[in-house]
Amino acid sequence: MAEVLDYAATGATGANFYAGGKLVTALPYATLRTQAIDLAQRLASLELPRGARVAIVAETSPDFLRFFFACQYMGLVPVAIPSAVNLGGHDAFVKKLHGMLQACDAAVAVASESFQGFLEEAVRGLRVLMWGEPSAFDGLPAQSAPLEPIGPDEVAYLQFTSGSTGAPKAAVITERALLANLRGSINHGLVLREDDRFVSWLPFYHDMGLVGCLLTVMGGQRSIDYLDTREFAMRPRRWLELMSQSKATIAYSPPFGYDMCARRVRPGDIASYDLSHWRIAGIGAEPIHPDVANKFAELLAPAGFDAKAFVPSYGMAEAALAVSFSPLGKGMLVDWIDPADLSDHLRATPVAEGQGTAFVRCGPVLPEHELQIRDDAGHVLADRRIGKILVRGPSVMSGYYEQPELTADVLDGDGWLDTGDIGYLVDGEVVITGRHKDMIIVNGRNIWPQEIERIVERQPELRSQDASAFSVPGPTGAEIAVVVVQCNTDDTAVRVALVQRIRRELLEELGVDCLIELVPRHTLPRTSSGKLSRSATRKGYLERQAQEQVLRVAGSR
Amino acid sequence: MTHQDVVAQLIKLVEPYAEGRVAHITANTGLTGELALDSLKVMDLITDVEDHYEISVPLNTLADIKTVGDLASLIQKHVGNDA
Repeated sequence: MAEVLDYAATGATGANFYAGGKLVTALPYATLRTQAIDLAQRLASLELPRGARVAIVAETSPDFLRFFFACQYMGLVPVAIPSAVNLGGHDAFVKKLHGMLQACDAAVAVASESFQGFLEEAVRGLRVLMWGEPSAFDGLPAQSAPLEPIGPDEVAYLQFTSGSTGAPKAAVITERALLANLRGSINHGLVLREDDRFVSWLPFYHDMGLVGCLLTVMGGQRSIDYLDTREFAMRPRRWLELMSQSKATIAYSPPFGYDMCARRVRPGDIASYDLSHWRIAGIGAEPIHPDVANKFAELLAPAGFDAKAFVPSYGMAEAALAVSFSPLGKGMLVDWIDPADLSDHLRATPVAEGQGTAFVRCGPVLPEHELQIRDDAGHVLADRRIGKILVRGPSVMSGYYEQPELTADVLDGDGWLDTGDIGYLVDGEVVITGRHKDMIIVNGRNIWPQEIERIVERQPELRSQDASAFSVPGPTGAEIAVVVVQCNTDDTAVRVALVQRIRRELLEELGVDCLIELVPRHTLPRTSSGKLSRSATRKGYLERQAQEQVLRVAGSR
Repeated sequence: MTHQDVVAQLIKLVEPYAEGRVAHITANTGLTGELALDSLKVMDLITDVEDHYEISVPLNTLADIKTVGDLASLIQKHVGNDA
């Protein structure tokens, strides 16, 4: 990546950081290069072994870029650490930070001033050689020895992904893998043009934020305007204002970002936006419901937004980022599928538009890469047959850092990555229909049912195997997390206290509200091997809900 | 501006997000356990608070906020600082 920045620095492009609708810092790539090299020479004074990990609590700031690229220039491995703190979540954040620093065996940790308190607690008991604010590292003596940047077969960065075991795991991406992904995105996915300009509110600790909205942009020598994630979450209109102001042509977001805009934009403001330059409105990172995107497009059509700008994309941290892009300029191509054939025969049988279930096509796999759909026995399936999605190619990770068992679970000896998603192929395009892992996605956060269950089961009055978590569709179609909890008390006060405590801890740690249903002991359904069955619990829950609905309707007559 | 004033005003700001979960919100009401404010509702509430008091609340500081009263104290601190 050092060469990529060297090259980008020869031009006039760069990154701009906005807050409150104003430009706070303009960072041309040429300036970033100078600063990153200076910082690298200072970090050299720490005499860290080559490949040592540098943890960066990733806020949307120039410092993140400086530290990330300083690492590239001197053979250290940057690791972006989430900076999202939940209400009341002090202890949970410290624990998570500690777990991540430990999992990547960080030699150095850096965070802005406001995170120092958390960092101080999190490094306790760890072998972190130096931690502190960016300015502390700027105060190190600069070394004059020549820098040796990261080579093609060395690790360019580690990317944390959420794991079901509660222990964080980090995808190892070599420079070769990263550059292969950037090449694919720049030349084949986005087909970058001279006049392209990006806007992003995605955090740098998210693969789409880091690879998609920083490294790809720099690789293409384009400029980008950043909006702080917090500001987007509070005032989504700022994203559209910035898009309008900078006449940006490319911006990415998970569906929930488009949804937030559609729900929160004031109708009176729409005429003041100019979204007519927006040629690639990338959408991905979570299941895409066509309704959400359509609503956004309809609402913002008067501001010049073209629904054909939508580019459904498929990717994952384990493949650096991008796996496939839908063809440009076509908008969302929706496949309408017979739901019965889907669930009973794992076949994607087309039905008339508006009938059945809608799935979005995510385009063909990037050149130099392969994608297969396989059944549980590992046989490659034909078009429109549903199975596991596997990917192979130069962008695929080397493995999870220091986790050979987890790596072997997803990466086979022939280089095929089991993505954990299920779907099918049609006309060479991949369509994602679900996840064969049980991940729950709420408000853009990926949550494993195991995480919810662990938090519930650690309550003193409960035991292991007392909770079963899953998601159900909510009234607006978005997922809602549900946890069914078995407990043996009828005392209302005790039950209320238990539910409140569970809710508080789930919000503090995961930031999501969960529907919590208490049921008597020995009622959670089990599989033949004696393990709790989430799917059976979910089925039972939905049946009880439906029954209550009937009773409510009957009662109201 | 007394702590009581801020609590009273904050209760008005919080109420729409509480969705009737708690009949009488007080300084001791838990924002997560009792009012079930998820990350999106927290963002919305903080936006309302910032607009009402014309302050900027760093999100990190929310890590130590558990109750309506805690949040009122945090607001008071910022109103004092920014004034």
